[in-house]
Amino acid sequence: MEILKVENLTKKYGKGDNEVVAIENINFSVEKGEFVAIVGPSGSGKSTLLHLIGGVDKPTSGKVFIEGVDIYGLKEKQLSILRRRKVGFVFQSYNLIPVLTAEENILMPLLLDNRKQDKNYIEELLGILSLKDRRNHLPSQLSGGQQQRVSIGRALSNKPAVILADEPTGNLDSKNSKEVLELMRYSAQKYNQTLILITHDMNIASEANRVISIIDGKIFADEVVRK
Amino acid sequence: MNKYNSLALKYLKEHKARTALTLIGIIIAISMFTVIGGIYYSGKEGEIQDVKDTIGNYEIAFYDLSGDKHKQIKYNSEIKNGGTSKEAGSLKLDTKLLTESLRTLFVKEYDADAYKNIFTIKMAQGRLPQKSSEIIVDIKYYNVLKQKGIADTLEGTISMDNSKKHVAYKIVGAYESKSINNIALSFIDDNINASDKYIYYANLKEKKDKIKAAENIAKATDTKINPNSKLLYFMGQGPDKKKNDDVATLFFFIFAFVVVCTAVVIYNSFSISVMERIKHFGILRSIGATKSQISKLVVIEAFVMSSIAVPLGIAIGYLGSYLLFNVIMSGFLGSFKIAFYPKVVIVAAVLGVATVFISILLPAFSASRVSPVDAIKGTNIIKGEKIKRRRGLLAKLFFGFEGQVAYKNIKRSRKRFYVTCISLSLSLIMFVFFSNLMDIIMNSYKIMYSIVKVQGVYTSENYSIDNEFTDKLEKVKGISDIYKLNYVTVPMVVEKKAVNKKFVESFEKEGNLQEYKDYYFVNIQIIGYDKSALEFFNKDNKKNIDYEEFKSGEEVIIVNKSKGSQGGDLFYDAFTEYKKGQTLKLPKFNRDYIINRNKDFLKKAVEKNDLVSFKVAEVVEYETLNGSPISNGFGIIMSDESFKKLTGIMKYNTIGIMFDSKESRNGVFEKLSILADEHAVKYLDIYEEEKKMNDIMVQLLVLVYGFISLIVLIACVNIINTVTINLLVKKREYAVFKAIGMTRRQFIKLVLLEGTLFGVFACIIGIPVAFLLTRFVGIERNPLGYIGYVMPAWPYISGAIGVVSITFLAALIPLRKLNDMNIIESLRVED
Repeated sequence: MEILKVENLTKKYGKGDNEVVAIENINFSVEKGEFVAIVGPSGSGKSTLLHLIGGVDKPTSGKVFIEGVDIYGLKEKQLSILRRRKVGFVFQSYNLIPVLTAEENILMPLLLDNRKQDKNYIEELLGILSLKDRRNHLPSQLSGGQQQRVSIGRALSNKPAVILADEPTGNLDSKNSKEVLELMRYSAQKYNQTLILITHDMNIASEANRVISIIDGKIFADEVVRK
Repeated sequence: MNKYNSLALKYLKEHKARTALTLIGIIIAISMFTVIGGIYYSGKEGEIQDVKDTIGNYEIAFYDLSGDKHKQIKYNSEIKNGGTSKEAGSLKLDTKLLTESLRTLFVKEYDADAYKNIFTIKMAQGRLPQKSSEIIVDIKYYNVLKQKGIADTLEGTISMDNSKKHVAYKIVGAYESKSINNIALSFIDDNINASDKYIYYANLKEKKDKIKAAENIAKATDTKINPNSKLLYFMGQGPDKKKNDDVATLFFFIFAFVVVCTAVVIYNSFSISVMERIKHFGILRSIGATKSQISKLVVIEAFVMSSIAVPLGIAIGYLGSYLLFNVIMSGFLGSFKIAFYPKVVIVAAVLGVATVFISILLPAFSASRVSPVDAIKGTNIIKGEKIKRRRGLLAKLFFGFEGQVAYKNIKRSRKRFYVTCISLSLSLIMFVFFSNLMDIIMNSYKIMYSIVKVQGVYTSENYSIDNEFTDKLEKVKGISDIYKLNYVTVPMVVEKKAVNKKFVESFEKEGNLQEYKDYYFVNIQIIGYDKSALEFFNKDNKKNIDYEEFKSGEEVIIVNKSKGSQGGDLFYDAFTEYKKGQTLKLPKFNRDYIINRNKDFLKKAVEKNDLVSFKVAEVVEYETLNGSPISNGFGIIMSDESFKKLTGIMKYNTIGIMFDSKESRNGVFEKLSILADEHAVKYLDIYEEEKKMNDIMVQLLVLVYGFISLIVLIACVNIINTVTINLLVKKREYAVFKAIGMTRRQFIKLVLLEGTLFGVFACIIGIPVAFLLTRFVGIERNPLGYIGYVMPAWPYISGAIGVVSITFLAALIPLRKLNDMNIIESLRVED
């Protein structure tokens, strides 16, 4: 089942002589449950692509469909709602809200949605993320690895259609990197979720089902590495 | 300025909004220092000038100078200047054309020096006397003389210390005066008569302790002194020095209050600016800037701000107060005028600069303390700002998840949270307290005037109003009713069992309970009513007391409501327990007793049972014809005949009048005033008095609310600064919220709540404090006495709405900027 479709996506910054093409004419689609790694050197446009897929930036041209919905055809409010229901973000620098506890950070998309939380699911999530005894801690009281686990929890709490991870291990040491990656893969598999991950680390990319390489804003290669 | 130091200037320019806001805060503060200082010194100077004009421009009067003592004082080396005066005695005029009260004049003689240096005599007509045979009188008296055709010469018998002689004075002029004062001024020739007694009004060379210096002179010359206490008081000396010190203390507190408010603004602004630049400071430190170089950057900013704000603040303050007091309110405040005082400028500048530098001490110190590694890493940007875990359940309950986050956010920096809330609360407290106070004062006057039912009142200090006067009054067209009244307050005897225990206890506690046998001695206001006054009373109180029975049956009406105090708290209660039909006894007395109030007289009267019985015909709370509330005593209304018998006073001291209409009142005002002058009594048009009072109230309102507005303005600058910065430094967090799916509406709610919650907290702190302050300082200790005042809700409601609106607006300003932010760019800020 196709969960994400990217059609002729282009993003340009600036005008005239200062025009910079971040990504150009990108097309691909992702099936439900797929684990896709987007790789490429610094400045190749992979983060821009991820932001466009997540609906936080606006393309110059082209379309993005999530579960068949053209996200840039939506009004601002609907787009916001789509982001919190269908997309889960994991950032390199965690981007947790410092005044909220680990649990509150995880619950944030649900709280914004005024929806009743599925307590069993959240408990299970906290268990998987090994955060049960850290649930009432503020981000400043957690280690980098723990913070990133909270960030993953936040991305998963709403059971989104797509999880978008932007270099989630970029700020972590190798031990923590491994743990976080395992966790993401495990949870994606467990809940049959689609995971799109940006990295420039080929070791991490090799864990994915499919690797899309981007160079200078264009898809250089798109290959399935494992089924 | 070298390249490094110019970084400070660049920063100021780059953050124009904050620089402007901080500058406004400092400028307002310095303006306020200038205005308050200006008012203090100008007020003092104005008062000094008033005293010099009304009492005389002298510090010490040496009196009873006979023989060569006058010379000893006049030529004493300690004396700077002075003038001589002599009391010539009272002059009984021969003419029959004047009323009795105008037939006696008191004649004072001044020498040329006294006229020139000591007494300000404003001539309305003619010139000052230059010979001992010449005289001047006040203009109102002069007009009466002119009317009667006797304005050239005053002839009569002058008496002084048992000696009498016939004199004739030539009237050479008339001096300005608001009322007839029966004082005529003549001249002392150079020939000082050794047998006469003179007064020498002197100013001394000594500066520090005038009284002591005068005492030394008096001791050396064996003379007596009488200081000009009022002048010395304003000069900060003399017996009333403490009162002067109290005023100075009050001004000191106002200054201190403004300093604190401003310090909060500056501190807040600079600490935020430092916090925001921690990363820059870290970079500077990592490339070799020393700690002192870092703090120097902050100090330079403060210096630049001070150099802009100080001259601007002083100019605005001076021009503003000049415009307000000397142009807009000119004439309203008597002789008060704002003048320029260099010392005020110096104090304002020094205080302003000191406030700025003290306020930046801490931010400058924390800037220098930045560790390069921490700062560049940016992981724990705000050092020392340890976030505490908070629940914020109440905020969540009222305002949802956004409210909870807003609450947690504003409490993130406890120091800044409290400083901002307290500065807002102070403004709120000041607004509510002063609004209430003004309301209390306004209502007090309103109620005071509403107690007085008559529309015009004549009063005589010496019970001199006779039928001749009332006959003339009756002939004036436009007057509908005339009430002949007498008021006298004297200590009298009251049976112990009749006095309310509450008052007895309060007298005991205050140590002024006086008793003899079965009686207490208390002040009683005895009021005499003629027939028409009683009829008015009946109508006003819906009673039906017959005047003839009231008079012949020796009946009285008890005026019972009285003000007492217990342990500093005021209370209002019935003073006696008299009931209708009971009797009370009072001793007969006379004018001497009214003056000397000798308690032995009362004891003797009790001893001999020399008391007159009166029957209580009615008990009321207030005397509503022309009365004022009574303290620690009560009133007894009796017929004018009974009053005469009891007090021996045959004439009246008060005449109340009512007019046909407002037009008739205005039409006869001049006529009634002249009638008053002719009979040496005072005339008060109640309507005019109310109008005058209203004018004063309006000016008071302008001043008080002007002051509050400035304080509120400082608080506004502070809150705008705090909320703006609080919001802008959290850009990245807001970007996260947006990325995760917060809608625009939710986002606006969050941002606005981050401002408004400050207002809500300020109300939670400020309103109870303001209530207690108003209750215990404003109402319980209302200097005007009991008015049955009920605290209104409007100052609280408008104050709370005001504070919340200000905080709402403060959040609205940065909201647009935040709404338009680019999520990606904001997320990248620290990446």
